[in-house]
Amino acid sequence: MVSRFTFVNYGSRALPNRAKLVSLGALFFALIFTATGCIREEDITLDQRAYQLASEIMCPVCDGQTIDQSNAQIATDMRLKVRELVDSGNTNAEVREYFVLRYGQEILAAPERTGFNLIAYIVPIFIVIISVGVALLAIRNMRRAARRNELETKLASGDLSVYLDKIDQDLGFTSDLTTEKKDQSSGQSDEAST
Amino acid sequence: MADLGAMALLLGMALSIYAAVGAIVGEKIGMAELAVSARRALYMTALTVLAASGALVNAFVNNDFSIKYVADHSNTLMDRAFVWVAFYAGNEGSLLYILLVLSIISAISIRFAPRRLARSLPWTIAILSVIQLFYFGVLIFVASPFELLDIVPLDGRGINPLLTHPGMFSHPPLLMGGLIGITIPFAFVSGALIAGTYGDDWIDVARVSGIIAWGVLGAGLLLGAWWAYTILGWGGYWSWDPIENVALMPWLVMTAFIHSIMVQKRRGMFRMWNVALLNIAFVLAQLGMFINRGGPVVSVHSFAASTLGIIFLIFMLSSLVFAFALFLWRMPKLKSDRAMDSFMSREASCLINNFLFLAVMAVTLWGVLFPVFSDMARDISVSVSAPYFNRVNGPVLLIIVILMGVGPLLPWRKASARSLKQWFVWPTVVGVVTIVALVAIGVQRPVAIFSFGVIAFVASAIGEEWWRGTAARHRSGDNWFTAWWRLVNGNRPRHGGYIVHISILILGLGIIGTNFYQQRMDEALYVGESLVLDNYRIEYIDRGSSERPDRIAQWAEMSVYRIDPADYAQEFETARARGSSGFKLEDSSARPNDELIDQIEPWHGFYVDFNMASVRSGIRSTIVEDLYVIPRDFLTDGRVSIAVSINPLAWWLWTSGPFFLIGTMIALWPQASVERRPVRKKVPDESEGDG
Amino acid sequence: MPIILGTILALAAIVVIAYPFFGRKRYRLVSESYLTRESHRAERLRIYRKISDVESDFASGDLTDADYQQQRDQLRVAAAETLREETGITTASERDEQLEMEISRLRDQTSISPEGGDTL
Repeated sequence: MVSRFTFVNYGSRALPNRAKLVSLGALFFALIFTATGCIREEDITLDQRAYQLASEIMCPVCDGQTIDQSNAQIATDMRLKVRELVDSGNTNAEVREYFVLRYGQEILAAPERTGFNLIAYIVPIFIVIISVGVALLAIRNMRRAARRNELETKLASGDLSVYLDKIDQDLGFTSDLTTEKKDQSSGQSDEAST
Repeated sequence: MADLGAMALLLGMALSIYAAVGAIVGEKIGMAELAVSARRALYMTALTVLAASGALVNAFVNNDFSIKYVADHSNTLMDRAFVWVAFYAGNEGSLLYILLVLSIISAISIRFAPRRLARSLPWTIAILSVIQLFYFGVLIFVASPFELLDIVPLDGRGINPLLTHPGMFSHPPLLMGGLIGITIPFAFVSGALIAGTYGDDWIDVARVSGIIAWGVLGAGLLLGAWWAYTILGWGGYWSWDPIENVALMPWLVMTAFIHSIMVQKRRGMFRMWNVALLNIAFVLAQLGMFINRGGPVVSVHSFAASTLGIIFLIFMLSSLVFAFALFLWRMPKLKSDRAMDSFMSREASCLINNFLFLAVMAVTLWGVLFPVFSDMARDISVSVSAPYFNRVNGPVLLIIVILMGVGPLLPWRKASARSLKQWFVWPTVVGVVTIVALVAIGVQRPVAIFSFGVIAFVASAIGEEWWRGTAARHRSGDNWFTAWWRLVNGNRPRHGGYIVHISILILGLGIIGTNFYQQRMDEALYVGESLVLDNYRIEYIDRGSSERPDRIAQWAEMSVYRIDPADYAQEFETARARGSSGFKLEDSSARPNDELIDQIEPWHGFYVDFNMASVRSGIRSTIVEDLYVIPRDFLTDGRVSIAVSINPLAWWLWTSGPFFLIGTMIALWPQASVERRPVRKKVPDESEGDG
Repeated sequence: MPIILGTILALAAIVVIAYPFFGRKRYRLVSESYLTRESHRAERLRIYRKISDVESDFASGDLTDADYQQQRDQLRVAAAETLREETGITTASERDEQLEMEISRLRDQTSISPEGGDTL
């Protein structure tokens, strides 16, 4: 086993950087090429605003579709209304307000960030903060436990040698090599624990 | 055939009661014959469900409209290929399909379970049988697919037109199969907990069955997105619909599970945590079944609301109580082996990843439940749909993708400062250079550009990881491909996982492109008129129509030209002044640089019986962007009303699928034993082997 | 016709589940010692897999020499401990098995019907 891996002595520092550059470069250019599909002019046209708004307003007669998605007649009419309102200079908020007045809050695909509905947006923030916090706390506790263990751990030895030999045989280590390694490593692990 | 189906279901119910009771009693009183017999009863339930399903298929094939379910979901005109789809098109049939999958995978997993699980296997059998019993009960008493009609109609109602699409052959069965597949790892782990065998003996069976369920569910979700993209006719693929969400949530939790099970496998940690994840995933799968069948939220997918809702709600709550009572009871003995060494280690990043996945799940659940909550709390209805979920889940998903690059670069246990620098410098450079280059070539939208940078970072991190391993092996004399292949084979779960990561990055490209850079234009055209958007001109050539008893179909023949915007400079200017990004041309004579690149045929069908329209969008797909034409309506004055969109990078969404499957399969492929010597002769004969 | 098919199915199921009680083959529950031994064996094989993963990581340059030696050594010791327990159980259980075989031989001779086998 060990003999198969002689090359590891080279370590990763000695890798040829030129070839690495070439492959990373290729990856990079492939990505840039595909991204050309995303070059757009940024000045938001009225059209774009109208489509954006259409995707934020639900279709009142379809289950769970926005007017942007729906092919129903009422959705078409509402899209035209959105466009008309946008053309006549209404702000996005005013357009939303127009539909809320007529159909109720249900017409918005995402609740407005005011009043009671604010809860809808605050809870996710708490969820994320709490989960990350719990994860970090858990890691910290587990690290403490690790330090305690380190103090208590000692390698069993002596009476295990028969079994160790068998294990090495199972794994295809040659026995002389392993004893040598074992000596080395026990020395190193002592170092590590101090 | 209805009689056979009903008989088979009754028999199956009796068998699963017998299997559950027999397995436990046989184990408790030590009666091996009873234990073996109970196990065989579990195998036989699969046979009875197969017989019932065969009876239903037979009824469909023979147009036996005396059966209500057949009359409701097919007719004589239906293409026989759609029998498979009609089978699970309705409530009753889909429940039968779920039971069919559950009984077959139960039988297979019990049959091939390692012998050393013998102590917990009776409990596993009992749990599986009780779940099957629930479905048998529902199918027999509440939603029987074999209910007969008093008056036999001459013809059936026909299949739901939205379902007559190739995607429907695979999307629903995969989705339902994946959801119910989570039952298997759950049953094995719960069985081990009840029996009190606390070792890692269940780890392999839970990992393999968990990854299979996860992969099947993931494939089902992706195919569903593809189906939505090509047939629902709205230019999107994922709308954060409640039903999509309840299928996504268990998938997210299973994703956390397949990461942390690797930590348990390698480092003996997170044992308790993995059990908890499986419990959550299982309960969420039950929640999905409940919401799908008469839950409190509306969706395009939902089956007609019915009394089934309450039954599934009760079953979900019982499984919740069962799973967590069991967990709390056995928790003290589930402690893991070792403790964490450092924040900068793969296991630590895995734990953070797990909690982020749970956070996305919880936020999604919150979004699904908020309308119900709002209704109850203040009697005001609100909708929570795509804009909300994009806003709240987007950032967390982006962090998960960043971790996807960081985690694999961190070594197990702890990373030293030197190695950190050595490993992170290249991916970071590539990420930053990508961002700079994108800005330089004129790409807009900061969030999207940053996301592209993240994708480049993660891709080059995986690339570097492979590069390092491959180069090391290349030095020992292998050629590059062999070296890489050996690297992958040396640790299939890990490198299969990297391939899945790549598929997620590819999916990410598509998601960013379509979400941030889509261009839209709605217009109604007469024959001969054109619509110009970006550098496409779409000319309406002709319309066709056909009539069948069940549907009226109309389609438009359209030519797609690539144009040089300079030819149309004046029109573009007027359009821009009007606030539009495109315009309509009444005179379609070609300009000098127009080049015909494609013919598309947007199709629109109206199904009279269902009062339902179904469309096939005309799509011209390239690696850079899709041109997507939705036929909204064919107007009586001869115009066709179309919605045209340019969806950048949409092609990449579907390209991720094969990578996902290949990666999952590599991760699952059994590893050869590392033991070099011949396996020790075992004492044969012992134990309950049957026949 | 469907009724006949259904009846055949029911009869087949009954035969299959009843067979263990009346068939010629005798069953015993898996013995505790066998289970423990198999469990240890599986654990040992899992540790082997971990060792091979550590080696693969080392070969790809993910581990420093010191970490590699330390981790591999810990795992080897863990495997050896498992093997020791496994061997201990094997010898004990082999003794049990010989005893059992002896008993069942005697039973057969005196034509006492063999029953369930060893309990838990």
